[in-house]
Amino acid sequence: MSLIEVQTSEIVKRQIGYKWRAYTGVFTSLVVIQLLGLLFSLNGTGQMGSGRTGYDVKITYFTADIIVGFTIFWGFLTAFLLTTKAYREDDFAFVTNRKTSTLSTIAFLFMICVIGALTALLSSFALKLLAYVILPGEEMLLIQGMGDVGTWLQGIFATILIVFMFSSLGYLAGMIIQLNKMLVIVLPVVVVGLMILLSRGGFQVEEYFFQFIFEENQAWLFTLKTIAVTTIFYALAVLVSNRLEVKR
Amino acid sequence: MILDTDGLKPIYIQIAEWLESEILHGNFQADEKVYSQYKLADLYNINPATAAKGLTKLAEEGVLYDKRGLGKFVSTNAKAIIVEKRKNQTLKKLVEDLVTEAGRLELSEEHILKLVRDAWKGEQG
Amino acid sequence: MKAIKCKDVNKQFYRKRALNDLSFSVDENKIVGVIGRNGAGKTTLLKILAGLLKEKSGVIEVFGRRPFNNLFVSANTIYIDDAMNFPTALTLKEILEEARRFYHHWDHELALRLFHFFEFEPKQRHNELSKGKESTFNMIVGLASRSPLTIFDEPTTGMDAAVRKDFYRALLKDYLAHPRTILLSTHHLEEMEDLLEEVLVIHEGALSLHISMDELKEYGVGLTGKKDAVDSFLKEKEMLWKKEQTFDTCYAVIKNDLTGDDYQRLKESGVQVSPVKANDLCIYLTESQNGKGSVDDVFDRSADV
Repeated sequence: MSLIEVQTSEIVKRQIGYKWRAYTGVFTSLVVIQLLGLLFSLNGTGQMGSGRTGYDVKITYFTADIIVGFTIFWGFLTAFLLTTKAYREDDFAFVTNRKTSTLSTIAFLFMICVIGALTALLSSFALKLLAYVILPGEEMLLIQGMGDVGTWLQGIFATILIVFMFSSLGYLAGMIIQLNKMLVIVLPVVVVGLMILLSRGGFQVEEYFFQFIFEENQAWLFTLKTIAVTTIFYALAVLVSNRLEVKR
Repeated sequence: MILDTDGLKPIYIQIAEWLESEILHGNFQADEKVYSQYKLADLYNINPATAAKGLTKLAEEGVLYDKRGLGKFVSTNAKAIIVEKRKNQTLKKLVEDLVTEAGRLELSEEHILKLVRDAWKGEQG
Repeated sequence: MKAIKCKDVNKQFYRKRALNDLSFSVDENKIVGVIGRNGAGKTTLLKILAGLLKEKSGVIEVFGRRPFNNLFVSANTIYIDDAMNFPTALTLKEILEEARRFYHHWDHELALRLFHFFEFEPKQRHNELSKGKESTFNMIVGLASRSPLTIFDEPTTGMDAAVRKDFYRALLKDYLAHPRTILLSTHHLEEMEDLLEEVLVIHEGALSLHISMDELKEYGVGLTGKKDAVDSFLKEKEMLWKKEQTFDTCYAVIKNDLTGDDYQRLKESGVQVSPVKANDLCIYLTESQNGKGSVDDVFDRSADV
C-alpha cells in the first residue's frame, strides 16, 4: 500500500463535516434549552407597574434575554461536553491528530454558536407572538418589529461573540479536567476560592470581568475584547490537549 | 489435499510434498508453470511466505526452476529427482521404522520379509 | 523498508510499568501476530504504534516517523480494537460513509459486500450491536480501510467460530490482493497461526521472542520420560517449561537444538520426543515467573483428592 501524505487543512475540513453529521445531539439540546427559555420568558423579563386612584398600569416586557442567557449556558456546556472521553474517542475513530481535532472542534463550536445566537434572537419574535396569543385581555402596546436593521445585526453579532466566548471557557475547563479526573473537584474549588479570596481583598474578579466585557460601549472595543478572551481560552485549551493521550 | 495443521510436519513441507505428488501424477508437466505463492496461499489459507518457503525448497532441490519475473517452472528431470529423493529418504525412513518396530515385537527377519512380500502381492494383484 | 522500528521503548501508567525496554522492527507488508497474556503490554504497544498513547522513553518509528500526535501516521494507520467508539448519532451505513471520507485507500465496494455478507442492517446503530456483531463491524472497517499499517487488537472478541473463520479468510484474501503491514493481537493463536508470517511474543512488558511462524513451530520440543533420565538432559539444554507427571515421569519442554547424537541418546534412555504446538509454546514462554507456579498450586493446600 502506498503511503499517503495529508494536509492539515484537508483533514480539518473532513473533521468539521464529520462532526456536523455526528454530533447532532447538540442541536437537540439547543432546541430543548431555547424552548425552556421561551417558557420562562412568558412570565415577562421585566415588569413595571404604577397605580393611581382609578387606574393601574402594569407593563410587562417580553424580551429574549432569558433565552440568550440559556443559550450562553448551552454554549458553555456543549463545549465542555465535547472534551469528554466519549466525544474524544469518536473524534479519533478516524484520521486525526490533536491539532486537527481541536481546530475542527473549535470551528464546529463557532458554527453552532452562530446558529444558537441567531435562533435565540429570532425567538424573541416568537415570544412576542406567543405572548400575544396566550395572554389575551392584556393590551399589547408595542410590538417591536425588526426595528433598526443595523441595531439588530449588531445584537446578533454581539450575541454570537458572547456565546462563542463562553464556549471557549467551557472548552478550556473541560480540557483541564480531562488531564486528571481529580480536577473536577479541584478546579471549581480553586476558581471559586480564588474569587472569594480576591473579593476579600477588595478585588471582585467576576465584577471586573463583566465590566470589562459587558459595559463596553464601543462596539469595536467590545469585539476586540471578546475575541481576545476567546482566543486566549482556546489557545490554552490547545496547549492542554496536546498533552492528552486518547485511549487508556 | 487437506493440510494437517496439528501434525509434526511443517506446513511448507506439506506444500512442497503436495506439489511433488502433483508433478508425479502429471498434473504439472515439465516446463509448465506451477502455482505462485499467492495462489497456494489462497488455496490452502496460509501465509504466502510459508507457501514461498515450500516453493524455494523445491527450487533448491532442482525440482523447480526460476524464470525471472515469471515464476517457478517444473524442471525437465523433476520426476526423476522426486523419485530418487523419496527412495532415498522417505522409503528408507519407512523401512527403518519397520525394522525398529519388528525388533520391539521380536519378529524374525524372515517374518518381516514375508509380510512385505504379501503386501507387495496384494498391491500388484 | 521497515514499517515499524522500536528501540528501548518504555511506558508507565502511574507506578506500573507497562513496557520495558522493548526493541524490535517489522518489515513492510507482513502479517505479524502479537502474542502475550492479558496485561502483558500488547494493547499498550499497539496504541503507542497507532499514536494514541505517548511512550515514556525510547524511539518509535512508524513509516519513519514518531507516531504520537502525528497526522501522517494517523492517515496511514488504522487501529481496531474491541472497544471502538463510533458516534451514536450515526447509523452503521453512515459510519462506513464517514470512514470512506478519511481513508484514501478505502474500498467501499468491499465494505458494502462484507456488510451484506455478515447481514448488517444499514439503519442499525453501533451501540445497539451485540459484542460479536460489533467486532465483526469493526473488522469490516479495518479491512476496507486498506491502511498501510492495519492494527487489529483482539479483533475476534465475541465472534462465534464460524465468523472467526470467515474473518481469517477475508483477511488473507484481501492481504493477498493488497499486501500491507498487519499487526494482530490474539488469544486464538492456534486458529490463525497459518496466516501469520511472524510473531512477537510479549511477556511482562518485554519482548520474549520475535521469530517467523515457521520457526516458532519448531522452536521447542517436548521430552517425556523418567524423571532422572529427563533431568540429566535438562542439565545441558535450555529448559522452557516442566511438569511432573504420574509414575515418576515428567514432561519438559526444551529449546529445539537437538543433534542426531542427542536423539540417539534420548532413544536409548527411553525418553520420547514430541513436537510442541506454537500456541502451547507461547503459553510456556509467558508463564508468570513470580513464584506463584501453576493454578494447581492454588488448590494444593486444600485436601488431596
